[in-house]
Amino acid sequence: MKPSAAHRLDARWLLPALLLLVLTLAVVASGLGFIAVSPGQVLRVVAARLPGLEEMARGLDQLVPHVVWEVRLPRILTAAAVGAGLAMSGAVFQGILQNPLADPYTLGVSSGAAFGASLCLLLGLDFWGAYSVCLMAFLGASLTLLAVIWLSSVDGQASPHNLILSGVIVAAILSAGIGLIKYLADEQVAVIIFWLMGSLVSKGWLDLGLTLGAGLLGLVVFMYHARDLNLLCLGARAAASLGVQTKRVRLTLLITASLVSAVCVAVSGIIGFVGLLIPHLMRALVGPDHRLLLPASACAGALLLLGADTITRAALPHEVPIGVLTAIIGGPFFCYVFRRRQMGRVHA
Amino acid sequence: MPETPVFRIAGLRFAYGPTPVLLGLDLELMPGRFYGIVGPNGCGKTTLLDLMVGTRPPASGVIAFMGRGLEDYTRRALAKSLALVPQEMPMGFPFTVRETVLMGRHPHIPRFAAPSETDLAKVEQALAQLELTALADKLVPELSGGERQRVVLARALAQDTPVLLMDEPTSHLDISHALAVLRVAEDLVREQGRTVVAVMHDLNLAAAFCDHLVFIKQGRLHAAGPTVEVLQSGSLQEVFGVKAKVGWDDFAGSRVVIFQKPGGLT
Repeated sequence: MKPSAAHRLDARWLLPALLLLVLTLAVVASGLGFIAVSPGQVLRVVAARLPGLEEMARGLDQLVPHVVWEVRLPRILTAAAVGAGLAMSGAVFQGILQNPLADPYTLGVSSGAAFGASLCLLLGLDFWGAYSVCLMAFLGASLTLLAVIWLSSVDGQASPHNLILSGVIVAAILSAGIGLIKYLADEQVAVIIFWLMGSLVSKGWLDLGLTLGAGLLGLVVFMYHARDLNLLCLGARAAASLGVQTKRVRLTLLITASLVSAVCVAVSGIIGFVGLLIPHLMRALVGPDHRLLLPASACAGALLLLGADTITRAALPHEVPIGVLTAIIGGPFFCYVFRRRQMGRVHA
Repeated sequence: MPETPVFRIAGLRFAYGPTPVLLGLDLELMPGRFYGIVGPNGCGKTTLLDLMVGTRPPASGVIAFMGRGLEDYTRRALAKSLALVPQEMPMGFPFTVRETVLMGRHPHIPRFAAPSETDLAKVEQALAQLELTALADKLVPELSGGERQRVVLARALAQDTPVLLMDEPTSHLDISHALAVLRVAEDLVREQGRTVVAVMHDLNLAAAFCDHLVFIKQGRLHAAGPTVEVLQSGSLQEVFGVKAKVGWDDFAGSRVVIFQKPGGLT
């Protein structure tokens, strides 16, 4: 049977359902861990933060509000926000680059962030406390993006093909640089490697604020341009002849998506496959229209990373770096989806 | 008062880096005609269409569309009057045929508005005109090359513009679909007074459908005029360097071109 639009899910209930799932999982996950807390207690801790409802927390063990509000919730919500940001920017990159295999890291953004972070750890830079690494990662990602755009822009047009090629070249150079840093780092090398594998351990409200702020800004910019992005999927020539300011739209989306993913990487380290896998799955479920695909990807990305983080934090005997976990789960799953799609095409 | 030309092009020059493509091209296209642009590979036909639709700025020269400089139009305003059927159709994303054709309505639909009844009706009409109604819910990546080319054409029809530019609209089509598609384009010109400018490779199809031909050779206008006047064995020899016999054929109802193998008869 040939695939058609009839196989798509109705976004009217899928989006609210995904959102509800994210919230439910966040509440349940906040209760899981070394100290078990019931979902009801979690809700009471949250409610007690609202003005006029302070007495909701009365009668709880005083450890419970601390564990839930200060330790678990910021980390859990940061995981969700990072997942949403990576998935959303993945969908945008795939659209602008007209390549369903692009992801937030295709343009070397991750390598830039990793290089910045490694350099910071190597030199022991400490100008903004714990957030120095984060800031250096963000700087590295932004500079890399500028270099990639500059490299690929001939006569003011950065074609998808040139962008991907430049991204690969710059990433390769930066990887060599990271290798050199690791070699020079001696006993610091473990810290660098651990950061590179991605982690959401001890994320606080500031991390959440940064990620959520970037993510919401991204969502607004992306949704404003969602229809233009649909047209860009038809090719730049067609989009331009249909009234899209291709150059401006592409650059705006490219920079916004890179900033969103740079903030995610800066906060959590390298977490792969979310930005590749989620837009793919969502495209199969709701179709390629970015007006639905972007919010659906954001919700599903949040769900995936929140779930993965909960597994490493509460279910496994030892905490596994989350970037390793998403690659171990996501990689084979992606192979399965990819293979099935290829087979489907052969038999169609 | 004389009619305003749809396009008035004067001294048009363009180069890709150091490679010159258009070397001072002059051309006037009048409304209500079916123009065929012909010329050898690499003579600048596709580049000319790019410049005419405003996706590339000319190095020098003037392009006036409907009496106003092309640069005075916003992209959106231009897209309401001028449609392009490009040659390539990258389609890695699983949009349905109907969704793709609806994108032709983009310049007519405000940013956050839903398509109106008129928009949806134009889409259905375009689908029917190109015999795509049965395929409307299929995903474009699953279609054959010829079917996709018809989708791109349907998108341009849905755009509902007085002027259509087409870059080899029949290159992926079998002869039956090629004739049907050009017939649709011909009706747009004859019955609705629109202007169609199509880059054509098949000279017999061009002879059958285009009332005017524009010969381009090495970035310059070689000849332009009514098909009966300019489609001659002499011009084919000069532009393409091939030996050809051109004559009227009653069965075709048009001029026909017959070619001789290079090197003559053996």
